[in-house]
Amino acid sequence: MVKILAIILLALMLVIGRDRGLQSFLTILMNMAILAGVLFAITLGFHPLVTGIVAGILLTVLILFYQNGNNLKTRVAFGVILTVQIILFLIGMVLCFTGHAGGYSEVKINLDDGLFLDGNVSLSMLQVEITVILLSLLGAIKDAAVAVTSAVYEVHRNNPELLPAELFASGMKIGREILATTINTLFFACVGESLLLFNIICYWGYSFAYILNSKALYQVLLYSGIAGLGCIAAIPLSAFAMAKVLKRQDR
Amino acid sequence: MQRNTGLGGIITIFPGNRAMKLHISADRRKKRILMLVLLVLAVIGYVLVDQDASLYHTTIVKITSIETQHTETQQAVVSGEENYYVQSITGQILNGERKGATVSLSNQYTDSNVRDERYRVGDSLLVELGKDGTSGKILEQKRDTLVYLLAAALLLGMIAVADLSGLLAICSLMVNIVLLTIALYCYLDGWNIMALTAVMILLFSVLSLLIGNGWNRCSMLAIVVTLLSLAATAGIYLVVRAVTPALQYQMLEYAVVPDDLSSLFFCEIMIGGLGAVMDVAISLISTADELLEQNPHISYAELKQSIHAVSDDIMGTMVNVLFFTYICGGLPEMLLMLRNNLTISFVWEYVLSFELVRFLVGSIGLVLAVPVSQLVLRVWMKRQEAANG
Repeated sequence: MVKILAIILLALMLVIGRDRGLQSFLTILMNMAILAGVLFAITLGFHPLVTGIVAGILLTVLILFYQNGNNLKTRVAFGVILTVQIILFLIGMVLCFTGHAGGYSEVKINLDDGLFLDGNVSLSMLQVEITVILLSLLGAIKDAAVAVTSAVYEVHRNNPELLPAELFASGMKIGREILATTINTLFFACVGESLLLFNIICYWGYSFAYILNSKALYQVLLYSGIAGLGCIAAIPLSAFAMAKVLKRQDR
Repeated sequence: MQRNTGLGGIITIFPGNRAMKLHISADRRKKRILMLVLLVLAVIGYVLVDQDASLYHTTIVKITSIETQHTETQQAVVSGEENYYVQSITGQILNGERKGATVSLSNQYTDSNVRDERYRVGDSLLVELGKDGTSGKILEQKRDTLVYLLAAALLLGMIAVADLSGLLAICSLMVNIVLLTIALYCYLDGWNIMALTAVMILLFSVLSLLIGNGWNRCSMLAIVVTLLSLAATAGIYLVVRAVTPALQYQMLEYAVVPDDLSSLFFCEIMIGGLGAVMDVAISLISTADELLEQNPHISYAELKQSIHAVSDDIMGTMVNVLFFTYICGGLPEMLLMLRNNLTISFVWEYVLSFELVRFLVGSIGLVLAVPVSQLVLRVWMKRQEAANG
């Protein structure tokens, strides 16, 4: 099934996007290769966080510079993405640590999900969780950062005499539109992924208090919530950085 | 500098723009006050949620001290070793009849924390008290304050960055959550899952787009594009599903066996791709709408060309967004399997193929949204022309 769907996607991308479509497909393949590398590195015993950081930088370089070319816009976006990732890393650390977000959730344990797996893996599931959360939001942050930096760049090219504050405002205007749709995309992807969980919650009639405090819900919220926070932080940051860089260049 | 004031705060960073500052300040000041009020409300909310133990029927215990003892060391499956510890926890009951009393609890944990937790002093726990009232069983950690923090940060951030459209996005999220809850109860009531999925997708897309963009030409066209693309995607998926061997649905996360898992999975992937398809549809249609606004007599060929330029930009990005959200979600489970010495083909069959199918179907949907937009615009322009004589 996977193979046939992949071929259909490739065909559609080639017909509709031509060389850009092919490029997107190749990017996905390379992303998969890097993620496979992450899997094997962690399996072989490398530290999850270190592996995650290396992979994160590689993936960012790949999806930014390969897909959008090496220019001022993408270089600024790169800086923004790294900054946002550092901020989110700290927030994610605190939230994962205080909320004990790693490993199997209570609901999963009650269901005997993955019972055949031995828990003696000598691998901190908490660190894995933080790594995964940070990697999973790369796509969304890149989307926001690139959209805003290119918008500010275009505005500047058309009206070179605009003040930094005005450039910033125009970046924020684009950012607003991006934010609403990205949050929407993340929300539905998150619902789509956890529909079975919600089904179980209703099916077994867990109390509201139990669900609100459960690790199952907390993990779902962390994934989409931190990605959302990332987009929120990336928009003003990239508008600000791009306006600043362009004005410094003019001087 | 307050971080939460967004625009207003950052504008003041640029020095020497007096005129600019005065020009923007009236609006910004209003916003700054609004954000400050919201921030204060959020802090008050935090304090309230932090002290909400009396609202719970379950006993809540706050950990005051922990004694940890190392019990044994086992060999890990692949490499390394796993230490087992037992925590003797002493805590204070925060609610109910025995409020203020001391309880002792016991908790076992391992280094990896796969199915257990290492609690720390200061954590609050939901506990099922034993008959004697001085011991009990830990149910789970009290995470409501953290959930609240995350939600509040998201809401404040969205309003700070996106003003009104942030507020609208929040509204549409709320409406969608309510809809989803209703749908889940309808499903448990015995409704047909396929029909329910169709109704849900219709309602989700109509409401999200209308709340986000208002009742206008742009929203109407985007709704049509979203629904048609998803219908085409569903058709492709169902055909492929019919001709290929079935996936191992019982291995899905949180699967319960009596359910019709293949239909539930179909519902999952359709709703999962909905957001991305809507995103592409609204981007393409609003570009076309903008062009039509500027020049009502623009030819279809020109329109098609600019749609192509936009679609080239967003297609790759959106595919990436879906890729990272879906594939990374399966990583912890895959790692557990690999560290259990299971083969790659096992991991592929039981975890990765699900995530890949989700990703591929979502991507097919958003790529299809491009030709569907062109088609819808073409039909719509023909009808406009016919109506105008």
